[in-house]
Amino acid sequence: MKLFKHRPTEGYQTKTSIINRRKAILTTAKYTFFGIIGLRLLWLQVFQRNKYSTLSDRNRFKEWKIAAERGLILDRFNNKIAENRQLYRIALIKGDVTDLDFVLTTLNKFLRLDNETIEKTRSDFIKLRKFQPYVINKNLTWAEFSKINSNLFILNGVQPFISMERHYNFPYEFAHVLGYVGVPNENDLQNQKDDLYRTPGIKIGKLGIEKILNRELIGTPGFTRFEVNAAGRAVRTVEFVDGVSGNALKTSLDLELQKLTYQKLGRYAGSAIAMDIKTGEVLACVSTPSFDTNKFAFGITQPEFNELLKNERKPLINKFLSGQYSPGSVIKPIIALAALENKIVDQDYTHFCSGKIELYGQEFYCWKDGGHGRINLKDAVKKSCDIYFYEVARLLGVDRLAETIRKFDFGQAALKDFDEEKKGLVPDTKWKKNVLGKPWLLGETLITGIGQGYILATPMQICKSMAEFANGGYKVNPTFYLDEKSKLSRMDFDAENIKIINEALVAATNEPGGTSYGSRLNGKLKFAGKTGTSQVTKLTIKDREDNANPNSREYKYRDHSLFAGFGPVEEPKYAVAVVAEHAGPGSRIAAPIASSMFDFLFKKRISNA
Amino acid sequence: MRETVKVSKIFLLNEKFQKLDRSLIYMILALGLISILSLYSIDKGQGTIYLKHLVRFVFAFIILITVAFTHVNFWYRYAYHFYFLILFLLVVLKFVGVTAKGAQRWLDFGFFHVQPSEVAKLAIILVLAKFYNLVKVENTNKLFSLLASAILILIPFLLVLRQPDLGTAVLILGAALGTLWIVGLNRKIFISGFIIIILCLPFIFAGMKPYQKQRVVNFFNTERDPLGANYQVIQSKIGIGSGGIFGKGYLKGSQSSLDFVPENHTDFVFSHFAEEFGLVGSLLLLWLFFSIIKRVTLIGDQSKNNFSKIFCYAFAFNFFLYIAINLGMVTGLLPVVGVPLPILSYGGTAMLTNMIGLGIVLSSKLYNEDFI
Repeated sequence: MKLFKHRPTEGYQTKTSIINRRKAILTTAKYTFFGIIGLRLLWLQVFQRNKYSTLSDRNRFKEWKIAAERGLILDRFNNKIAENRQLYRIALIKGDVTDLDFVLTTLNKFLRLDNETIEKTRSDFIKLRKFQPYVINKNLTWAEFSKINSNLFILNGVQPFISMERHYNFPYEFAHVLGYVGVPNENDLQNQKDDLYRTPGIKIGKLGIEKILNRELIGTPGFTRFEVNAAGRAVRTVEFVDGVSGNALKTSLDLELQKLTYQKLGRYAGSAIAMDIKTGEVLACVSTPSFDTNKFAFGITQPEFNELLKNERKPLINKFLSGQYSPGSVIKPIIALAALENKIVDQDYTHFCSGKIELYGQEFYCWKDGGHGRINLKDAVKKSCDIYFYEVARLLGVDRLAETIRKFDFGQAALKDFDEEKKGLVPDTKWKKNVLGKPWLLGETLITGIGQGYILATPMQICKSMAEFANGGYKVNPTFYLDEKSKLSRMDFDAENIKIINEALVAATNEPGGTSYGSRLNGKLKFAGKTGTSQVTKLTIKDREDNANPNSREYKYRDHSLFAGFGPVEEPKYAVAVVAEHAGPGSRIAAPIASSMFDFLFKKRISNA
Repeated sequence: MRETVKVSKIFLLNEKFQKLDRSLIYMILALGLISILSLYSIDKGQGTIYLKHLVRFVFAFIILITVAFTHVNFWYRYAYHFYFLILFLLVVLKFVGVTAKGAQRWLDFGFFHVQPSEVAKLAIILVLAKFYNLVKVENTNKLFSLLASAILILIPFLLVLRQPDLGTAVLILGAALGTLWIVGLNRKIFISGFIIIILCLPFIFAGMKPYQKQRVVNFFNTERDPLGANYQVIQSKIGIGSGGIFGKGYLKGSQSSLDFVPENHTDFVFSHFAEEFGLVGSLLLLWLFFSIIKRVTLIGDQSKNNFSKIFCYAFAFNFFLYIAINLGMVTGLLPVVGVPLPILSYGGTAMLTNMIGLGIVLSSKLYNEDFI
């Protein structure tokens, strides 16, 4: 055994010295590596500390936001028109539901859920993340709610809760102005930068003021911050922060007037607006037929929605902003003003109306068979003589007409913030050439003079123009809010001319022979205004003969009934515009509606003031 | 006469107690305390893991003291027996082992599980220390001794690799290579060995289990698959990094307590410690580990026999290797291989092995005047 030595004594020192040398090298390696680990810790814990702290908190905390109570919407006298009500609802918490089928059948027993809700719950449930709550789309009565509460021990993962939900006190009356709230859809979520809309159960404004002032109304959600473990289960509540309810919004609307207007419009499809002539504050604006915004707020069913869509009278259309009509004779005050401003005519100028005129190889009729005879400007407005205005329009030419009409902001949105608002149309030669690619025909000038043809206006524009006449020629910016102080700026018109037109309008309502004389008010306070009967299609001779009975025509071909006016005559305060679609002559339908609105305003608002 | 013997024995025992390396024992106790407090904090006082670990630590500490008072000669004499016993257990494991996480690692002895591969690390050091104590210094680099040591190393290495347990196999190889280095194996052999290993790497990689491949791939591509296999390292780094300079405070750590860090009681225990005690605490712990290694090395220096020297140095290196690989792994410097942090990580066999090893070191100190 040369290789081994049991008790190594020979070369012992050498071996030890080798071992010691090798150990020293290893020790250096150890120092190096411990140094590296130390530096690594320095890097992670000092230089990258913030990054990892953020990541740690993101791991650890989850927030469960709680939608704040939406701000109330009040009318100008602080009546609540939109508020919030307690709703009893239930949510399913995915991680805690042990047997979905059992839970659903049991809930069905208590709540009688419809199949659609059950199927929707089932399919939505699969997509949920663990421990994410799912709110079942049904309002519970108190009885159902307490029944569920007392049976919670068998319903694993069911969480009853009370939420504050939007409630419209007058859903039909204010449907188009206030709009409604709803659950944000994919589109809303994508357009939203922050995650406010991802608050569970939050509703956002979908239409009208609810949409425009959504930010102010929605408030700041409260939240509960949980500590969660890696599986996502909440371990403990870290903090609870109360939300801030949305601001209450005081609108310029007048609840009583709105209700009255809605009632007066009644069965007609149309709209009516009342406005303060100095501030532009809208006191009432109704569009009919209407719909139940409370149903929308809670999620309308598809059949119900289809019903609304199919309705020939278009309940979903906001008619006072999106309804575009030929203004008909309602435009005549503006045409008359254009004539005076351009010095085409003066107060004393007269024109002969025989009821019919032939120009450019075409026959143009006055609405009155046999004509008005020799007629001046005031009477032409009062009696709404078409022949007179054909002549005025012919003398002015369409471009000068259009210029004056545009000064009243026709052809542009009267309110800036309603997406659904239409701009109307003020035609002129340039427009026709550019858009239709055809030269202007002189006959078209004549019918523009009586508010027919290409010209289109919205009720809001008509009401605004009437307010501008009533206040003596100052610009009005319609608004639904009280806090906006609109500056009064003079329009580019001779005050004397405005006065002449206003006098004619007073006569039209308050002197025998005026178109709206039948709707005049007999009290101390009177109103003034202009009727309009705008044709939807060109009338045939037969139609003219049948005119006495407008209901003989098919609904969609019947005339629109319009009225625009102001009052009280002595000291104007309010402007009103009414459009009743396919309802017949303006004097017969629209003027009485306006009359009852003025009546209310004079009796309840002026004498009270 | 009898009384004299008795007195001298008592005197001897007292002398031994005086000679016992107190500082090493205090350091071990400190490590044990840190370990139990950390495990308590991870579960926020819930569960029984920290209590089990406490019991194990106490048990292992008794063994440590027992081994310390056993003459180092005992380990020298029975080194080969011990080695073959471990080989036997590794082979038995193949047939009756408990399968966990896709590998057969544990032997079930009814009341406790033993992981023979952990003990194999100690066995390989002991057997090489004895072997090279016997080999004449001029024969260290002879083919015969090279072949013999290669066989001694490769049998346990391959057995563990086949379990499969890459981490432990690498550590066995590491401990063995460290020992070979200490005994003065020619540098050229080391260099050529490394070259051969590097050339073999592609084949080793091809022979790996899918999860092992994944770990290696992930290590070189940290941004890949953050929720998958690389998840543990990212979560561990978040734990360490969020601790900052002074840490979140005891019982305030969240990463491990909320189960974001996987293997939070075992391999990734350091992450929790660093989260709660920050850079200051981590460096103190690092210093404690380093002091233990230094102390073990010092005992080797003071030893007069080569077996003790080789064993102490090799054990210090092995201890260092555990720490280096574990800390490298939890801080994202090295790929994830299942290597626990000595004494700190929850795990019975590793604790026992380390304590026996430290016991032999203490014994080397007690009997450092003796030649073998």
